[in-house]
Amino acid sequence: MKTRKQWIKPRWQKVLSDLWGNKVRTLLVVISIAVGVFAVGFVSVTFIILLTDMDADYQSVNPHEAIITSQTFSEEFLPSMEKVDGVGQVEGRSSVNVRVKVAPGKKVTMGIVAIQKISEMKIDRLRFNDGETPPELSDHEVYIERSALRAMPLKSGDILSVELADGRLRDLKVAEIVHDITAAPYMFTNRMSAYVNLNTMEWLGGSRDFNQVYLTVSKNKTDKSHVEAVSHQVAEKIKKSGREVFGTYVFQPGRHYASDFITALGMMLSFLGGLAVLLSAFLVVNTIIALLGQHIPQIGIMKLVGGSTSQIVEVYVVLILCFGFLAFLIAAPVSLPLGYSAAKVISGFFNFNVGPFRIPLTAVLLQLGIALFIPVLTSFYPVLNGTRITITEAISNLGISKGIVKRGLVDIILENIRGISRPMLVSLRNAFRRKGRLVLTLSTLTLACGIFIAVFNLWSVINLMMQRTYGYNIADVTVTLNHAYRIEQINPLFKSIPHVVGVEGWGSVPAQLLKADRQTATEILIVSPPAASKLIKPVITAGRWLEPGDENAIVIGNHLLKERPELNIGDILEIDINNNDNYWKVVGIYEIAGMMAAPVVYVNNNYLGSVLNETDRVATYRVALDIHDGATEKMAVDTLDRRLDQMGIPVNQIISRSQFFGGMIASMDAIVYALLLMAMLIAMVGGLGLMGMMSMNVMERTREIGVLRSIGASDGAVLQLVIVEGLVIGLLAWLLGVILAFPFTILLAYVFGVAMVNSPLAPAFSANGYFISLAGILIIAILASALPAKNASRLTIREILAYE
Amino acid sequence: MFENKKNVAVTELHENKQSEAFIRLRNVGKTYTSGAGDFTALKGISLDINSGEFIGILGKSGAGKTTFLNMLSGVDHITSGEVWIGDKCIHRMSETRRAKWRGQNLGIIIQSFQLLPSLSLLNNIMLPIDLGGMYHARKSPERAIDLLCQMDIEAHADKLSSQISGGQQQRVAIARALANDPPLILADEPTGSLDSATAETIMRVFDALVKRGKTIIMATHDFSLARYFTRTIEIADGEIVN
Repeated sequence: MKTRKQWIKPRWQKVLSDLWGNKVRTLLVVISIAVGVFAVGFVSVTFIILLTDMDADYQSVNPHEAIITSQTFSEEFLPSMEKVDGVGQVEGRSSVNVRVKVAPGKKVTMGIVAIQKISEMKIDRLRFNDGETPPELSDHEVYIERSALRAMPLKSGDILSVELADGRLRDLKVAEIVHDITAAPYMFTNRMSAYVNLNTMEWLGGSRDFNQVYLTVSKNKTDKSHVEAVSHQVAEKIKKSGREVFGTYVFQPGRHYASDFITALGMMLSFLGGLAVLLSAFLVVNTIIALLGQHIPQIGIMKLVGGSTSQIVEVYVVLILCFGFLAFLIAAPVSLPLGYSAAKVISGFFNFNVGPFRIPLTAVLLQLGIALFIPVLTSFYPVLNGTRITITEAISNLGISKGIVKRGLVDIILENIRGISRPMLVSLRNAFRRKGRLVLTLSTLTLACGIFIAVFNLWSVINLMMQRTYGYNIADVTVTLNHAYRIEQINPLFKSIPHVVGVEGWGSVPAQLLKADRQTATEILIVSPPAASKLIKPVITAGRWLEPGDENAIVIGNHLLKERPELNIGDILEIDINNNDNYWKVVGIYEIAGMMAAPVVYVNNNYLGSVLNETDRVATYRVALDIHDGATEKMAVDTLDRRLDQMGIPVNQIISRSQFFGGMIASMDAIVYALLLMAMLIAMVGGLGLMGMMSMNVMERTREIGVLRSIGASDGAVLQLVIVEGLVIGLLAWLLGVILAFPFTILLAYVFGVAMVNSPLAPAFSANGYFISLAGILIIAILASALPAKNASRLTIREILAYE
Repeated sequence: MFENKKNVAVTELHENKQSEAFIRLRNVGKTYTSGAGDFTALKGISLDINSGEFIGILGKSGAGKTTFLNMLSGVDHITSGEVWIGDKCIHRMSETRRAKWRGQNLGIIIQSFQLLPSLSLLNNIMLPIDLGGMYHARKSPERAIDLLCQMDIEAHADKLSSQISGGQQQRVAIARALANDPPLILADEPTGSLDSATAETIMRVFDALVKRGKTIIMATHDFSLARYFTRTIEIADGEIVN
């Protein structure tokens, strides 16, 4: 008898038999664990790869920590800046904006940066072919940043015609498509980025001298205050040389601009993945309790033949470990490539590279740990409890309830309800018969339903947030000219364009909000709509919006408050605008979601004009159309561009509303899809939970079904009995889920807002989640109860009564 | 033939104080408490059983036979009195120690066979060996096959319990009870659900085991089996009546 059996002890043979003997149950448990493990694995693989590779990719180019724009200076001035305390390296750049015709009738602004020598670049190094330094540029050649390919397909050797500020055209030869990880991608800015040498810059109307300083700090690279303080010293040095400083740009120094966003998204999805694991655990506990209920006689036998409680606990713990390991074997191989693919997609979105496919050990160990230990930990008490049954109880098969059936509150209520048929009454009573299991089933389903609905509600929250954000740019088209023009001069031109119903001239100027020490400052962007503007609808959280008579009134936002939390209504702010200090009184606080390079504050245009000595002269015009669709927007953009060109007015940028919000919509869509994926996984666990519970309920009642049929109940009556029970449980879970969805939605909206868009968001509720979850739960309840009931009804009465 | 790791302990159990009986029950009482009130199933039973006896516990349904066996095996708690088997006072042991002791020293056979449905017959017999740790794991298949041979059902070794007849299942249950070579076998209505011919076969198996030195205590309501026993004890209403 030399078989393998002699190598596997009978108790482990029992574990294998239990696994293989009831394949449906095993599959159900394994899939439910696998869904949770997959969710966590997928999220962890994606974000481990993203965060690791993003940082590695970013740091590999020696990124700038600050950029200072000023009047031009020569190369000889750079060493003196490098001597400023705290400065690591400095590099000069010269830049110019041109416009590129990317499609018939569509022009896009291209920011061109001149680089003295590619091979000697110290800061924000360009790369091509996955990491190599590109060759030196020849005259009239250009490197195109790869994210600009979204605007137009370009390749090495192509001739790109660009329109200079004065309207002249220049042809540039595309030398290479390069990658600049520090450049804001086209998708978010609607600006293409490109690079030329100093000769070409001069040929394009720019200067051989520099107008930007890129600097790194020698230490504390991620400390924004430190970077600002060092930048301030450098800016002061520039000022002392008699040059004007236009602005200092410090945004998330030492980190990729998307790192906070990606970290927050990862945490959010991890939270939902954790909830999926929790649901899986509920489901496993449920199944294990049902399994132990079925195994009571077997536990009794094992005890009868000398098995101790601890040995029997071991058997069931190993069984659960096997479920978990099988789930790991399913989930890990799927989550690894999918997680990597998701990381690839997201990195493409934010324009950084992830390395080649690899298996993050942390993610694998995390999955293995969750797959093995969460089911064991959560099921340990039920296992211990179930295996503590005495032999007499087990062999006589009285089960955990000891056969005592009490009349509970539900029975008393049901007995007093009139007009319910007897079979319906039986169904309702059955639904509440096994209260322990009912509580677990309801907990699983309620949690699943609540989270599912809350995720759909979060979708509404995001939509509402988008609607509110649109309120800050109601204009259908925004035109930015190269210079400020008198509003009276430009308005008639704009109003002559078909579909234009309104034009507003808006000003804007970068400025520094001085801190209490008056030495350091926070970079801000002052935006000035005309008094009583119709093209902005801000969300005011405190104080008020600007009024026509306001002079030095200023409305600050949540982004500024994040940096300067001490600010409040009534405060007087000292702001350095073009090297002149001005005082402004805070009259209101607005709220806007999203990322901002520099916090935006709003003031009245007339007053700002007087401060800047440019009364009634602005460079930005916001245009309202009578029809708000893409086609009309495009037509207006084309016509405006043509007219301005004809009039010799140089344009910096013309952008439609849909282009303006394109990047934000795309990133929000990506978040919504990720959330929906999580919602689907949670719904899957919940569905499996209901299906498993209903199946077990019906299977346990096979004998009862036989009795019912033996006393004359038809198949239909039996089916109705079981389905009504399923529907009662499903509906109850849904109702509880609806209630639970409220706090979940509030929590998710708050966490999402604070973590991802710098603004705690108010909850919003969508009917979709409620209806989809209701339909789903009813369908699953019917299927999960009807299928086993149908199988049971196929058995003969004799078979059913002999059923164990 | 098979070296038992606990041979020394078992021998001690057999030879324990020759002057005293192998099994000693002193004023054993058992009262069940339920919502309907207290029910006394055993009323102060005192009894001595010697090693090598084949005892028949006879009585009608509800007389207290199963309760009596449960007190002996320690699967249920006594309300009063003492039960000694060899030098062990059964009810003073912890549940864990009692389970281990039971696995090494007792073979229990019950009416409904109670084989694990998911295991082969061979594995069902190996299970007490595995749990009790009495034999080396490598030896246990050999021992299980040997027991199946003794019960004349070795051909069915790899079958599941659902694939053999009731009589065959009961023989497997006996083989399982003998797996750890216990000195004492307790059988509760082992022939209760068998036809008379099969019951005869089972009784002959028991007879052979007694001849090999085993002590068997068997509860039955079938007074016609009395001829097989070396001594019969009749129980009625929780008391010994003969």
